[in-house]
This record gives sequence, structure tokens and C-alpha cells, in this order.
Amino acid sequence: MTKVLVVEDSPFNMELVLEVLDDMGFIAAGVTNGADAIKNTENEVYDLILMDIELPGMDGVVIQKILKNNIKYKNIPIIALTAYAMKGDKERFIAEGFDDYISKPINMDDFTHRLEKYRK
Amino acid sequence: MPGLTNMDILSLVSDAIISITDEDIIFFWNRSAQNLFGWKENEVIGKKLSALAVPPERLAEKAKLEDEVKSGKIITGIETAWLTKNGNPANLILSLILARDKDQNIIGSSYIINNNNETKPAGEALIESEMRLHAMMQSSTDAFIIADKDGTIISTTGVAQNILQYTEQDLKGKPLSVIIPKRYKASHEIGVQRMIATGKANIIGKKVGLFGVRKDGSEFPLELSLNVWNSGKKIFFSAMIGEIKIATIKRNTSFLSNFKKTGEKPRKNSLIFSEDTYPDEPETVASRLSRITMDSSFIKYRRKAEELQSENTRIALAYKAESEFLATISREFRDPLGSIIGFCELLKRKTHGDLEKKQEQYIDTIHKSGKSLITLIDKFELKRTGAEKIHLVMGKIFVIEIINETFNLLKEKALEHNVELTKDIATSFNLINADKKFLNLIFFNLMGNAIDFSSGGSVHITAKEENTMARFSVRGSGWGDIPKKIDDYSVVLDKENIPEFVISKKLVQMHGGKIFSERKDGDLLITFIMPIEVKKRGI
Repeated sequence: MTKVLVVEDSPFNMELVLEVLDDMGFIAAGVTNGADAIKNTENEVYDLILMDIELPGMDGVVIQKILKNNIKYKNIPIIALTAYAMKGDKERFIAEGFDDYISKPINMDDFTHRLEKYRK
Repeated sequence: MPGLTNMDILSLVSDAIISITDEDIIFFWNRSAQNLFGWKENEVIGKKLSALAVPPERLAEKAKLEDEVKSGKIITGIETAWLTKNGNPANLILSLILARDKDQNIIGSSYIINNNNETKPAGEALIESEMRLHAMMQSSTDAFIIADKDGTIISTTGVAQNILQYTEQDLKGKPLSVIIPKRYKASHEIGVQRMIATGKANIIGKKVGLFGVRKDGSEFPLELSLNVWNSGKKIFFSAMIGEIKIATIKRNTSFLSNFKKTGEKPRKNSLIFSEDTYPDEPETVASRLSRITMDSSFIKYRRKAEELQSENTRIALAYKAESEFLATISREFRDPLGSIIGFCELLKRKTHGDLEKKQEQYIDTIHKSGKSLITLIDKFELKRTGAEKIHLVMGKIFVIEIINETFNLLKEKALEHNVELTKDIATSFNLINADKKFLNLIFFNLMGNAIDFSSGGSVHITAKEENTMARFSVRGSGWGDIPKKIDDYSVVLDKENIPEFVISKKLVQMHGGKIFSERKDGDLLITFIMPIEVKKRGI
């Protein structure tokens, strides 16, 4: 089973993303901030992390860097999930170390299609 | 332990000496320390110094000093206040050295302490030096003002009193700010702080053109040369001021415009219109009249400049408020809307069972409505330029007139920074259709910012036509330093912390134009182009 951690502070998005992941047959857990994300990653082995960028406290880019700098987690793919939808944002987030980038509001077909390749 | 002989000498010196181990345990306490603090040697040896004489708020300072001395720094002349045996604070001057044993091993640190109140020059010596200073100041034919590091006026010469129309007693003990126009106060204070912190000052040792305030509140142009000197542990500023006669300025303004033709360059760091170049004449009725007119035009331009400055603030605030409002709206709306749309899409997939035809139709409607709202928010996002609230009033403007106007507005600032303003306007380029106030503001912002970054040097503006477009460039020699800090010349204009740039960019865009920055022989060149004939736009 593919285990996914969703880091997202908006309850609306969280509910939707968890629902879609559940529909896809993934096992999904959600946390709303960076500290919980890191704590959760220590306790559970995830196959994929979906990371919002604008978060209270540490932002998604920082959390991603912390995780990728840790030898234990550096192979977990992390996808930026963000309301930024500017031209060139995708390149920017990939350059920051993210494995992929999905802009919100999510397009259902695109979202499921892109996540499919992380299925274990 | 240090050699006994040394300790005997140390016990007799007039400075208080206290030695402590790295653990803050007192192991040496001389007789002067006993006199200063009240504790006898046998009461303190073996105790912690921090617990004894150092007030809680000074503990961090003490720890820092000890760290610094260990790292090899020389600690001397630190002013602080510790506590004596009876609990009273004592103002002290500390020096700190490493304490070594006779084999030169470091065994802790030693404080050498003076009572701050006793170290000031006292008695006759002080009176004599004050009298000498007073006599010197009163007989001086120069206008001198001496102030301490806090900007409190200590002494003034008779000539300075005449210029400022104050008596000596009026000025003594007053802050320097009484003779500085309000608008300079912030930069004056920053300058003094920087001077104290770094020992460097932008205007020290140079002549700068400024304004002073007389006792009756009236302002007058003056030139100032500032020097700084140390006396013992104290820092003093001395300012030599000279009143600039308006007639002198007039003559030299023509000198300013002449030296371009003759190729003669003004001396660097010297005020271009100093009185020694043009000896003053007795004031005639005509020159007095021209002085009054110049005085009032100075004030007129200053008011106009202040108005433009507040226009900047208004635009910046409008932009900020609007942009913050839209950012909040868009964030608060986007998330729930995304959720509505997403769940509609989930339902339409029918993974959790089929839908009735009507149900499907309703969900389609919810989905479409959500989508249209998101599109609306996207449009707002794109419009987050903040410029929408600002209305352009287009009209025909004489290019030369608006540039001259800007020169007048910035003349005072240019004097302050010793910057030469030059222009090069194509003779065929006469009229442009634009909003006069805002075009003026663009020039004012760009050139004003270029002057702010300069000390000496020049700011040059060019204006020419290119087919249907007007092309204006501002080049500031002092600007060369900005891009070094941010690597990329092309992003200078987007630096949020330079509001003059951000606002100019918006105003240029509202005129249907473009603005960009580039490197030119080490200087920064900002160019904007805009249509000469702008169609009235419905914004």
C-alpha cells in the first residue's frame, strides 16, 4: 500500500486531497504544520509527501529541505502543492529540490494522473 | 597564583584591581578595590564576583567582556555601573586583562577599575581648559559650533551666534536639532548614530550645502563642514558653518551650467558655490529683492517637493492596502472554492455510486459556478498592480518644462549631496501627452533616488523621441553601488524596498510604457519609454 503524508493548513484542501487519495486507494495522513510533518516522518515510513508552501511557522520549502537533507528521508519524493500559479513557478520549486509541482485548485484528472506514478 | 612581589605592588596602586578565575571566583582584591566597593579582602576572596558586585542587568555585559578578552581583544575604557557593599550603584570605567601566573599560564582575568566620577578632569585643570576654549571660541572669526556625542551644544562662537541669531546662553546645552530643519532630523540622527557606531561619517571633512534654522524659525541656506575629535574618552563634533548668500548661489548656478561647455569640472568634495570663489558684495536693493524672491522660490519648491513626496506615500499606501486586501481575499476564497470544485469532480467520477440525471445536472452547475469564481479571482490577481485607483489626467506637457521643474524641486537635495544635475534634451522633442503630476513624480522619484545614493558625482537625464515613443533615461553615478549588492541589474526596479522604483514602474506602465535598468560603464542607467501620444485609457 502507498502511504502518503499531506502537509496542508487549509481544512478545505486537506479534506479534498485526503478524499481523493483515499479514492485512489492510497493510505493518507494529514498534518497542518512543519513540526508535525517532521515528527510524523520519524514515526512512519511514507512513500510520498504532498507539501503546501504557505504554512504557519516553517514554510514548505524549508520543511522540504530539512527532510531532503536527512539521509533517512532524502529518497521520499516531495511534491509542492501550492496556490502559486505564476509562470516559472514550477522551475523554481524543482530548483528548490521538490520532485514535482501541482498548483491549487487541483485539477482532478491531472492530480490523479500525476500521483499514479508514485503508487507502490 | 601570580608572583607575590607583583601582588604586593598591585595591592598598593590607586586603581581597583580584582582578579577572578574562569569560574568567576575572586582570588585577588586590592586595597583600592576595598576603598571603591567597601568589602574587605577577607570578605570577598573565594566568592563569586557576579553575585557580589554586578547588578543582574550587567551580567551579560560582564560575561561578554570576559569572552572578548579571552579571544585576544583589548578591553579598556568600558563605562558601566556596578554595586558597592551598601547596595549603591557606582559608575565605573573598566579595563580587563588576562590574569597569568608566574609561568605565564592564563589563570583567569583581572579587572582594573576606576571610579568614573573621579576620572573626569577636575579642579583647576578643567576650569583652565574651559576658559581657554571659551576665549578661543569668542575671539574666533569663524562660525563654530561644538557639540558632544549626544548632539548637545557645548559652545558656539560669536559669529555662529550672529548667523543663527541666538545668544550663547540660548544655545548652550540645547540639542543640535534646534538649528536643523525638521526634515533633516531623521537623517541627522541616523548620521550621528552611524558616526558613533562606526567612527565613519558621510559628511565628515567635507563641505555640504544644507539649511539652518534661526531663532525666529526662518530657514537659510548654509554650508557646513563637520569634524569629529576625541578628547580622552569623549567624542565631540565641531561644525563650521557659513551662510550662503542667495546672490552667490545665483551667480554660481550659471557657473554650474557653464562648466559643461568649457569642460571645467568642479572640485570634488567642494561645494560648487563657495563664497571664496565669489567674494560677497554689499547687499544692494536689487540683490536684496532677488534674495527675497529666491528665498520664496526655495520655499515654494520645497513645498512642492514635499507634496510630491506625500503623493508617493499615498500611492504606496493605496497599492499596499489594495494588494493586501486582494491577497487576503484571494487566499480566503481560493481554498474553499477549490474544495467545492474538487468535490464536484469527485462526485462526477461516480466512484461512490451512480448519480440521477438531475443530480448530475446540479453538480455540473455547482462546478461551473465555482470555476467561474476562480477565474474571477485569477483576474483580480492579475490586476494586483494597485494602479487602478490612480486616475491619469492626460494633457500636453512641454518636456523641457517638466524636467526643469524636477531640477528645481531637487536642487536643494542635490546641494545637500554635492551632486551635479545635468540634462540632454533633444531639440526636436517638445511635447508629450501624459499626466503632468505623475510624469513629474516619475522624474522626481528616479532622480531623487539617484541623488540619495550619491555623494558628489552627477545625475544625468536624457530625453529624446524614437518614432512614436518618448525615451527618457536617468543615469546616477552613485547608483553604481546598488546592483553590486543584488547581482542582477535588471531586477533593480522590482526591489520592494525601493518604493521610488516600484511607484515609478507602476506610473510608467499606466502610461502604456515600459521601464528597464541596465549597466552603463559601471553606472546604473534607468530608462523608460512611453507613447508620445497616449490614447485615453478607461481605467
